[in-house]
Amino acid sequence: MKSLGRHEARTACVFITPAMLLFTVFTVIPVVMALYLSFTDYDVLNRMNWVGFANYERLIHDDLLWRTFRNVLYYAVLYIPLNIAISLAIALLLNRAGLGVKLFRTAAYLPTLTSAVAAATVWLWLLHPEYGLVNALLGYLGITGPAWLAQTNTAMPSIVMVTLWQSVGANMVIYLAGLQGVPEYMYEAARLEGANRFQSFRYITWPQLKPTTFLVSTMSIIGALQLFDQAFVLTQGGPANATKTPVYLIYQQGFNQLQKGYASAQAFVLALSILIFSILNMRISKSDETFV
Amino acid sequence: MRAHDIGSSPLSRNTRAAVFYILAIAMSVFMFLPFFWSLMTSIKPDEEIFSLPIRWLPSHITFEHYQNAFRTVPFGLYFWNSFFLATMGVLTNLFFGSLSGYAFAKLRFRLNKPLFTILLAAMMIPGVVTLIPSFFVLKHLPLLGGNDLFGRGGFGLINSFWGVILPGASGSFAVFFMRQFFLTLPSDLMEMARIEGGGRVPDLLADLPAADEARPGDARHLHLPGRLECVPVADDRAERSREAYDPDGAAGVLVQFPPQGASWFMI
Repeated sequence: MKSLGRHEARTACVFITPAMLLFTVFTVIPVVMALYLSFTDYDVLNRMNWVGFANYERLIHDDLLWRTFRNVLYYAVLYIPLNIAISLAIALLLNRAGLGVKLFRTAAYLPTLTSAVAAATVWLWLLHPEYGLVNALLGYLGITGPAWLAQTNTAMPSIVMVTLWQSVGANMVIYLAGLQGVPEYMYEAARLEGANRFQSFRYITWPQLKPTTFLVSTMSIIGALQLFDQAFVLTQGGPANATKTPVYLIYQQGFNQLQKGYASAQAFVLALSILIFSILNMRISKSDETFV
Repeated sequence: MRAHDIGSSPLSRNTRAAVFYILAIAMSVFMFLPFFWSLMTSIKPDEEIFSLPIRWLPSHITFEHYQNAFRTVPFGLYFWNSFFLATMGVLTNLFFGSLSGYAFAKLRFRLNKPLFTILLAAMMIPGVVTLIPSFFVLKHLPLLGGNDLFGRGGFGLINSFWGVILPGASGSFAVFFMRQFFLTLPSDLMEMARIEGGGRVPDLLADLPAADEARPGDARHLHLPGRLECVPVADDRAERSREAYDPDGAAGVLVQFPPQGASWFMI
C-alpha cells in the first residue's frame, strides 16, 4: 500500500512538472521580479538602483494615476450593472424552445467572437460624428448625435456601449446555463400559490441564479479594472484623459517613458485594488461556498 | 415557455409570441448591425462611404479595398502567423492542461492542494503586472537564442514564435478546466483499467475520449478569439483608420472574421 502511494506521487510529479515549470518561469518569477522592480528606479538605460518605497510615495501624489482609477471606477459603475441586467434579460428572453431561438442566440453571441481591437475599430466608424451609422440612425429620429468619442461627457459611455456589445453574449450563455439549472417544480409550486411572473423571478429565479451572478460580476470587475484595448483604440485615453485607464497609464509609463520601476509599483497597486474589489464582491454576494 | 403558459388563452399566447419575436429580432439586429455595416463599407466605392445622408447599400460592389488590404501589408503571412500561434496554443494547452489536470484531480500527493491553490490565485494577477518582467525573462532564458548558461549575451526568445507560445503554453485556466472535468469521471473505471494492467499514461489516454466534451470548450475558451486575432494587422489597421476613416481598414478588419468563425465551427 505504501509503495503504491509512492508510485502515485511519483506519477503525479511527472505529470505536473512541465506545467509547474512553465508556471514558475512565466508567472512566479515575473511576479517576484515585478515586486523587486517596483522598489528600484529601473529604466532600461541606466544602472538600476534600490530606492525603497520612493515609487510608492511618488504614486500617492500622482494625480494622473488617481484620475485613471476614478475613470475605471466610473466605467465599472456603468458597465457592471448594465452587463448583468442586459445579459440576464437576453438569457431570460431566449431561454425557451422555438423557431429561430438558436439564430437569436447566435446573433447575441456573435460579437464575443471578434477581437477587442477589431471590434473597437469597427465602432470607431459607427460612432463617427458625421459619417457614422449611430448618428445617422439618431438623425432619422430627428436627434443630432454628439461627437461620441471626442466629448468628455460621452467618451466613457461610448466605451461602455462598445464593451457591452462585445461581452453580453458570453454572459448570456453563462446565464442560460444557470437558468437551465433552476428546477421546474419551483415554478410550478409558485404558480399553484398564485405567484405572478415578476414574483417568481424575484423569489425563485434571482436567488437561484446567485452563484451565476457572482461569477459574472467577479469576471466583470476583474475585466473592468483592466480596461485597455477599447480605450486605446477608440479614444487613446482622451479627450483630456477622460478615458485613460490604469493599464493604459502603466503601459505608457513602462514602455513609452521606460520608467519600468515606477510602472511596476503602479501595476501592484492595480493588482491590489482588483483583489480588494473581488473580495468585497465576495462579501456582498456571500456565496463563496457555492462558487465552483 | 414555463409553467405559466398552461391554461393561458390562445390569443394571449399569440400576443406573447409576437412580443417575443419583436424583442428578439430587435436585439439581434442591434448585435448584428456593426457586422453588416463593416461588410457594406468594405465593398462600397470610396465616394459612397463618405456620402451624406448615409447609404445603406452600395450602388455597385467593389473588391478594391480587399485587394489594397492584401497589397499594402502581407496579410497572408499575418494569417499564417495567427493560425500557427493558435494551433500551437491549443495543442500545448491541451497537452499540459490534461496532464496536470488529471494529476490534480485523480492522484494523491502531498502538494496537490497547495499547488492548485497557488495556480488558481495566480489567475487573479492582472497581466500588466508581469508584462515588463516577462520581457526580461524571455530575453535572459539560459542557453537559448545565443545566451550563455547565465542568460547573457544573446536575445533569448525575443522576436521568436516560442516567445509567444511558451508563456501561454500552460494557462492556469486550462489546468483548472481539465481538473474540473476529470473530477466528474468515475475513478472505478480507471482502477479497473489498472487492475487489467494499464498504467497511468494509457489510463489518461483512455480517458481522453470521454474528455472530448471538455476539450472543445477548453479550446474555445482559451483561444477564441484571443489567439486568432491578427494582432499586428488589427493594430496597424486601427492606427491607420484613426487618421483617415480608412476603407481598407474595413476590409482588413473584416477578413479576420471568417477564419475566426471557421475555427469556431471546426473545434
